[in-house]
Amino acid sequence: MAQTFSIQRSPLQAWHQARCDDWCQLGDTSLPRHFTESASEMAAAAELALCDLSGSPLVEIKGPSASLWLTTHDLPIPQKIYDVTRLDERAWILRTGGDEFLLRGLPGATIAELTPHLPPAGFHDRILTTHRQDALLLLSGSRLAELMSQTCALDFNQLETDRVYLSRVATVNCGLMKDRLGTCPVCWLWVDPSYSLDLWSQLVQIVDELGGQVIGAGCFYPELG
Amino acid sequence: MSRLPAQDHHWIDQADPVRFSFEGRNYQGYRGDVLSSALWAEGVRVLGRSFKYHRPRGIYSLAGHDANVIVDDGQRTNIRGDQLLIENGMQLRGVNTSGGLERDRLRWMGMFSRFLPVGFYYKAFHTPRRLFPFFEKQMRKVAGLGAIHPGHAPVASPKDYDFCDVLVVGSGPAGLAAATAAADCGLKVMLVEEQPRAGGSLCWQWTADPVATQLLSEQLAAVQDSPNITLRCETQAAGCYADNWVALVDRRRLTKLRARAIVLATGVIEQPAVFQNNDLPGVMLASAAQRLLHQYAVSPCRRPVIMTANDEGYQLANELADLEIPVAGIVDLRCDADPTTWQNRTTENGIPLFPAHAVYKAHPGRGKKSIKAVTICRLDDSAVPDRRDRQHLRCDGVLMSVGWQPNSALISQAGGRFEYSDELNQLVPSQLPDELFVAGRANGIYGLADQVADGRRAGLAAARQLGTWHQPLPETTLSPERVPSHAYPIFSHPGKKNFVDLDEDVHLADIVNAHQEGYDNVELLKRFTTVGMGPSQGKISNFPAVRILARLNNASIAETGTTTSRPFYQPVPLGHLAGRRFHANRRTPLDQWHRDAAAVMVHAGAWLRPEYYRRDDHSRDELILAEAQAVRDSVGMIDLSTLGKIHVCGPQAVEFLEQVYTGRFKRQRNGTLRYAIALDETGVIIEDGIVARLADDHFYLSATSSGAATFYRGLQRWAIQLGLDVTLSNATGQMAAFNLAGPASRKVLAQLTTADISAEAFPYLAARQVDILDTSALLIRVGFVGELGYEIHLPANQAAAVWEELMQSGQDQQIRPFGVEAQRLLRLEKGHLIVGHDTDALTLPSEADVEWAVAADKPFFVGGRSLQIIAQRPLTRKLVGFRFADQHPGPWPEECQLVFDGTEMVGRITSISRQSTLGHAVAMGFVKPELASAGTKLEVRVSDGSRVVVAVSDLPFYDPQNSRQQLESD
Repeated sequence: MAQTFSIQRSPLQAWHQARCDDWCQLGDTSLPRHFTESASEMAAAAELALCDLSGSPLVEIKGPSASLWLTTHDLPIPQKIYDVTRLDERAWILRTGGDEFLLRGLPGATIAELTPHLPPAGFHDRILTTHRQDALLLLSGSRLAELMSQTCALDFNQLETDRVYLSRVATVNCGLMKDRLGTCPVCWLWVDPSYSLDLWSQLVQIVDELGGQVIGAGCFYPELG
Repeated sequence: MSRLPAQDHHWIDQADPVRFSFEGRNYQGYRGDVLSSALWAEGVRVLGRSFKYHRPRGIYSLAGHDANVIVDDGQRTNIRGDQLLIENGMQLRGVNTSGGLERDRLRWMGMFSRFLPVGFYYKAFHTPRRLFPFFEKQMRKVAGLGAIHPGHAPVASPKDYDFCDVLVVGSGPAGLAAATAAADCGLKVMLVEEQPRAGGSLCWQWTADPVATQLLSEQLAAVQDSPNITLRCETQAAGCYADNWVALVDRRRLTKLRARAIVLATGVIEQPAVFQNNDLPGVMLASAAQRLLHQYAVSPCRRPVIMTANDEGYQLANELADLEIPVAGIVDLRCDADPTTWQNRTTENGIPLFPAHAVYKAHPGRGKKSIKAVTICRLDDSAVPDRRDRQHLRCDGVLMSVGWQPNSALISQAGGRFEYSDELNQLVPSQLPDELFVAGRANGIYGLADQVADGRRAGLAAARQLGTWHQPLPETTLSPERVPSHAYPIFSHPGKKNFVDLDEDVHLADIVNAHQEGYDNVELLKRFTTVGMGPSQGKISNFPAVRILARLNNASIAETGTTTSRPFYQPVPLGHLAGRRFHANRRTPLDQWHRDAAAVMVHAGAWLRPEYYRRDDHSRDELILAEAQAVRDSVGMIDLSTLGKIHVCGPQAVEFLEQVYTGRFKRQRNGTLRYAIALDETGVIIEDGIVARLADDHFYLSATSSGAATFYRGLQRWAIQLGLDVTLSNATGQMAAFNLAGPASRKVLAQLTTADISAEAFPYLAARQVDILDTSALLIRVGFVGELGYEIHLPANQAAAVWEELMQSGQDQQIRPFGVEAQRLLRLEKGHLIVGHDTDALTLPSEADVEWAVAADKPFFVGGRSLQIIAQRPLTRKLVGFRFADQHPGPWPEECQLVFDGTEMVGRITSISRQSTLGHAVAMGFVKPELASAGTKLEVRVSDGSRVVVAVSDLPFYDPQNSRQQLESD
């Protein structure tokens, strides 16, 4: 049966389609579950891997009333610019400016699930709410720093977790966040969708040279259908 | 063969032969040999030809401090033979020859040296003028080094970043000590060494000293055992930049290293003596001879003369004697040197000593490919060679040990300053930035134990700077027992082949003559004579030139000064700088769809866009016209996702727009849009687009694809500067956009939306949110191409599905995708300008015929004040249309070609299309206002110089009444 895809697509969909026939649904977006055998991908995830998790909800809230809105709805405000506060297992709040916040839902969540109080898209009550389309890439593994050393001027080993970094990866402006999934060191990387394919292609090439692998969303989210 | 028996400390493995070819002949070396050492061992003496006179050259420094040996391997060029490790199968040739090194046809150039002094090209060969092209062509043929191979396949280099607490450059005794001292304080240390092995001078100058060899072994073990030290050999620190950013270059890549502190233990560079024929094969620095002996097991000569002014020369003599290589004599420049242990040993070895003497001339062997003897002269009281008191020594080499200068390039680049030490006759660091430390011989410290102590001091000083060492620093001495360098080992000769700069063939008389011509400042002297400007960047020529200039000026070295050292320390392959050649393009969400539809993609700023779509065997021009015709006849769709898309929101959004644009927005109704232009502060058009009002306090702007990012930054700046309560958001990459255009566009769109898009409900210039399929989209009625049309703006992640459905539903209307070329043609027919194409960096609204979009009576808008001033001056040009004669056979003008009225240049073409849906060519361009009336005949000068007649035309060419784009009925 031919694969049908949801109306929402990762900006890397065409790249995946040429290489994958095992798909899953991540929120409202179809993504590769596995490219090869899951055991091999799991092993790669622990060492060096690259995974597309685009479609995870990302909502920008900015405007003079953005902080007030968070407070009014009992949502924690990250204290300093570039701080990250975790809401729970499914969402973070990232502060990217004095009155700029990103609500990042983890893969599998939908926008509606981020918070019941989310303002509608558009400008209301002095808050501009935008449902961002950024590609979300997950870089993982113990050799992650080797990949980052070839693409980013930040000293990856010195980066703190729960902190947003705005930098350039392979000449493309990105947001980065160092994290751990279980025991696995990871880096979340989000990028304007128009740059995502070229950035992805460059990262794939370097990951391949370093002996790593592109893996599917099923490695980190086996529960996805 | 000059190969010596193998010893443990050698760098080569004599059990592992390596075969290669050089200049078409086969040779054998050993694993670990560099090209120069392998060839020298095989008895090859001519390893290169000099730049100007094509004199034969051999080994000189064997340390990368000269550029005598430069080769090409058929893929890469300008490779340094002193640093090229040989591999099986290499095929190498020297550069800068005509017919090979041995029989270089340009070797006669030296015979005409009197006609080719420094600066000759400023004075000769430019007259008679008619011959200048010939002279220029001939000079270009002989100038330059190496040849680029067009077939060379570039290989991406994995450029990377790295970080450390302390960078130590140089792994001699001082560098090794500094690295371990810093590492023992808990710091992360990067230790880099240019040579293939760590150890610095311990690998070639001290190998006969058991204390030194033990020291090397212990220091290397300490480095290897330390988890805090990363050692990188074959890595040069190519340049030192602000904030301790250092470029490290090895064979594979460039590393951009950021250090918190830097220790430079870069050592010293041995300096040559200047005497007649001091450049011929066989004349080399003593350190080169020692490297040959102790690293590569090669005898430098069969019977050398050693010219010296320090202990190191005597040390070398004894090492040669120990290897049973007879030394013809030691010529010591000093008059009053006290005997030392080394000197006593040479006497015991029976080596003749010639104190207070200098080598006056080296006598060339056959073809100048070697030397066969030297003339030495006693030095008089003024240290000038006395030709009446001379002797002839038979020899095949001159090994020079007359002095050193600090390897100062990185120190200077990092902000260090030097002063001249009369005690040492060399420069020493005098001022250093806080995070920079210098150790060892670069610091003027020569005793081995002293170097180690100084290195340790520097490492601890770095640790103290970084807060991990809190005790007093150990003291070190800066004064050696003996002066290592001679103050002036430079001797004149009437033959004028006593070279100061080997790279550029600059000899002593060149410098004297330049000084006489008035180039008496070190910077002027450098640029006029080119001393220090060759591939070795003056490592062994700069300081001799400074000494000469100081003497000519009767000034001190301090008064004379030195030139400025700049990166790179050694040449860096361009491929390393290019790295992986990252160049990220921006792609729309439909990128794959376009490629699958056989689109020919083109760069439009940072974006890739379809230029047109290939079909069957039709030509490019045919397809572009067909796409445009499809829009005129039925319906077409273009991907406009590259357009800038900006939200402007807030209680003062209207005030903001009124001030950054030229138009009015106060009374703009919600759900409508306006065309708007933005100016810079000088009144020049910088952007145009639409401004759609979505709500009282919410506007949606479009901007040009290539200007959007800059425009958004400008808006942000104005928001801050004007202090208005607005919120901005750049949605350019977040939203996709299509333009569905043509008389059938409404029919196609109506199949996918329940919204009422009839002419009454959705008139021209309306803008509102509608649902298309299950997607909420902003729908805009607009007419850039001059037909009924709808722009659909929607989230990028849903664009592909909607586009595909539109293409599917438009099949019965023969929908066709169209690319940027068809769009440019369609808008040209409508006379719509493209900012940055039909406008330039000076175009005013009045010139571009968009004054109607300027509300000049507003109290303030960006550029408004300038327009008031400019309005008082006459207009100098106007944007008009051009038509060509019917059946014009060609040639056709191109964009930017000039428009003439007789002999007077009166304008230029900005846009042109030979074909159009109107059946004739159309163009736009600027002309003087007085010539802007329709029907005025002018000429355009085309590429071959001929003229094409054009007639000024009113705009637009197509549908002047605008009835098509405001189509009210289907």
